[in-house]
Amino acid sequence: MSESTPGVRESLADVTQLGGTPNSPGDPAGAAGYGRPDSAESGVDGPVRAVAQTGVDPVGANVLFADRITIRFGGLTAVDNVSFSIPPRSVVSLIGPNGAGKTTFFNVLTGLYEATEGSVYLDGKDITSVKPHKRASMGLARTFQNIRLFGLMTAEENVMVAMHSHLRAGVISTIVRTPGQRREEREARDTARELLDYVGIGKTVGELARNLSYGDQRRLEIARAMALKPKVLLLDEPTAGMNPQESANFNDFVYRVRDERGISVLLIEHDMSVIMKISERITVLDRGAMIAEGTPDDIRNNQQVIEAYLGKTGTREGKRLPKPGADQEGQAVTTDGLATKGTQA
Amino acid sequence: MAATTHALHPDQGRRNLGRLAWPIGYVVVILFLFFLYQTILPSLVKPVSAPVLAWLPVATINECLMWAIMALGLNVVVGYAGLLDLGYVAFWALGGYTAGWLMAYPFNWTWDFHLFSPVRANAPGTHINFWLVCIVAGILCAILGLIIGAPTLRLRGDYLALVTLGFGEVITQFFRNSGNIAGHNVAGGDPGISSIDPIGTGPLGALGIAPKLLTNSAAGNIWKILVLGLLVGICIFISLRIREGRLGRAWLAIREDELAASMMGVPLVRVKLLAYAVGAFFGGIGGVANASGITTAVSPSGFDFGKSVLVLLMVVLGGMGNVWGVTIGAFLLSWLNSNGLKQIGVQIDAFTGGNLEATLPRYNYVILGLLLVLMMLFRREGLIPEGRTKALMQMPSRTEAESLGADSVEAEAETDALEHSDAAADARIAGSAAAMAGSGAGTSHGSSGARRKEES
Repeated sequence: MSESTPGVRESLADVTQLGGTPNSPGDPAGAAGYGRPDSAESGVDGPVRAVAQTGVDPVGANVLFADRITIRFGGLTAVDNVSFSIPPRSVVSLIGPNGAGKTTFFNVLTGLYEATEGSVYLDGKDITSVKPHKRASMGLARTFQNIRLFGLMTAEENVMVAMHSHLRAGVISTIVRTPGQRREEREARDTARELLDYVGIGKTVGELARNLSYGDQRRLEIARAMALKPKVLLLDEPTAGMNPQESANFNDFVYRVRDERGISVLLIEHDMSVIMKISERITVLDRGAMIAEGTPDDIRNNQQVIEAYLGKTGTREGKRLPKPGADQEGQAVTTDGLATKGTQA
Repeated sequence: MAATTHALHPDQGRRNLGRLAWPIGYVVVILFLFFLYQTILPSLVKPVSAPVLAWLPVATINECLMWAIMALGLNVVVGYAGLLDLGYVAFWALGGYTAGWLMAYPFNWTWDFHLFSPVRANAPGTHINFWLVCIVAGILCAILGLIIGAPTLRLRGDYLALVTLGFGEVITQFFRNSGNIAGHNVAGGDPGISSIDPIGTGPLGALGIAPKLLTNSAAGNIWKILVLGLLVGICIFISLRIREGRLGRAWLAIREDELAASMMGVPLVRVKLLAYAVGAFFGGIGGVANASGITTAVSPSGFDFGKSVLVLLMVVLGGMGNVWGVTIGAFLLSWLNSNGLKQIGVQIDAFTGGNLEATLPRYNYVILGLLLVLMMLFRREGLIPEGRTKALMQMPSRTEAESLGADSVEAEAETDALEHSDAAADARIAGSAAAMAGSGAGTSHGSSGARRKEES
């Protein structure tokens, strides 16, 4: 990725010059330590932000902090030295064209892949070598890009599976059905129903997951993830297959999750219109490297990002971009932003 | 069979009568079988009772009950957790040998030990109560399950099946060579251990209600229906209970999607190990029941690979994951195996004058294999499928159907999801069972010969 170094530096300059919303040290969201803590000395390419030098410990200040992650598959570097952080009670996004390394990076966060270099911190604890199921019980919950529910289990059971690590009953107490086990089961059942209500599919309690509609399956996945009592909720393309109305509702829902439950949300999305509306911060990956990071406005006006989506990498993602003249305001703005920057370039 | 008609609709029954329905129904069936042989049949005229005794002798019922314990145990591993185990006979063998060690006078042990045993107090050897030995064997097998499982359960699918197959053979070979292991006679070698204590009846025997010892005599065999029936009942109870709890849900989840389950905080290895241990526990009890109640002797030749396949067939044929289906599968197959084929042969001989009575049982594995192939063609989900599996086999899921109209990316995701789905895993398990049944046919001569020896 070293070939892109000059471009990245330029783009940074671009962003700061053209305004966007540069981080001031007083900005709490900004102070939460985006960027690498000591990227200057490590000599890595990619964005170096002023905030990195403010001295705030990114490990302690963030719910989730990924420190200089590199993943190589054989000779192929899928993710190259990417740092990423999720502040408490925030909605952040990871975007990028196909093959940018989003999902690979995501899988390092959840523990499916082991990072070749770098470390991951959850709530101040180093979880780099912690197994996926342990990470999940520590409060790192995820959904899947292609829905992976337990199709032959009911909605309620699906949610209760995710409570496994919070329940205590052993083999013997399950067989004997001790009072403690009964109470635990009853409480788990109540929590499951409550969660199903929370995501708006309370009616489907006893339905097999495979019989639910596509949208309801997505909701059930979120309910299941929330049963882990997560600190961070990682959503992998949650609005895929949703219609505009559904994704509008989804935005509200994500904010509810953040505000009512105090859960930080990380989204991975192709769909720019969703991301632009919902995110407080956006990180853009392209070909394994971080090319930009900032508020939606920053990203919208970022030359690198526009090139990644429209220019250099061709129009692979073109169909995902909102069409001009879309009736929704947000989409129109996005298009405008991209268009103006495009002409300036 | 009375048991069949009762258990066919367990779900409806449970809904109507509440949770007590199956225990009551089960007790009624077992008591009916007991009184049928104890009082009803002897009081009937010979033309009525003779066909019943010919088609369903008491010894066969006991064998069926013993196999039901085994099938229920394997069902935990294969049906609940979706782990293909081709070496389940290992636990049966260890259970049997535990009975041999603790309930017999194996190879001139120099010390005697009696514990609540019904045999004469001055008999040499170790003699421990049947029920205690059941528990000990169960625990020993669970530990063996953990030892086998710890390194192997990290493997997936086919690899796990192969390793369990290997372990099954290793255990048999161990007992075959156990006559001289580092100079010690551990388990009697090729001849094995014989004259294992029969089951004692404790207070019932003392009061003269039941025979003191449940030997392979007519009276003893009838009482064994109650003892083995109780064991099967306990296994069914444990299976049903454990299925509804935290562990059962985790098993179902890993059966459906291992990756998603681990992402939801289910510790895969631990949960799989527990499935293995619980299955092995049942296997150990089955082994004791077999050694003490059916054969009264254990030898390595009885624990061949064919037995592993037979139990697997019972599970697949009955309906993986469904306790009642598996129980019925066990009854049906062990009945065919021990008496049914012979009787069918006798009936055909009556018309044709051939000698199918002797030949049909010899081709048992061919016939069972054919049966399985037919099942896979026409009723893949098993005789009494689990409610969920039935849904899977009969109707595409909504997203599957809807994905037909979706764009290629989503369609691809669906095919991917399908590959991970239960149906594929079930079909694979059933497929390998069918293949094994075919290969088992080659060994059928030896094993059916051994069985005839056991029966006599």
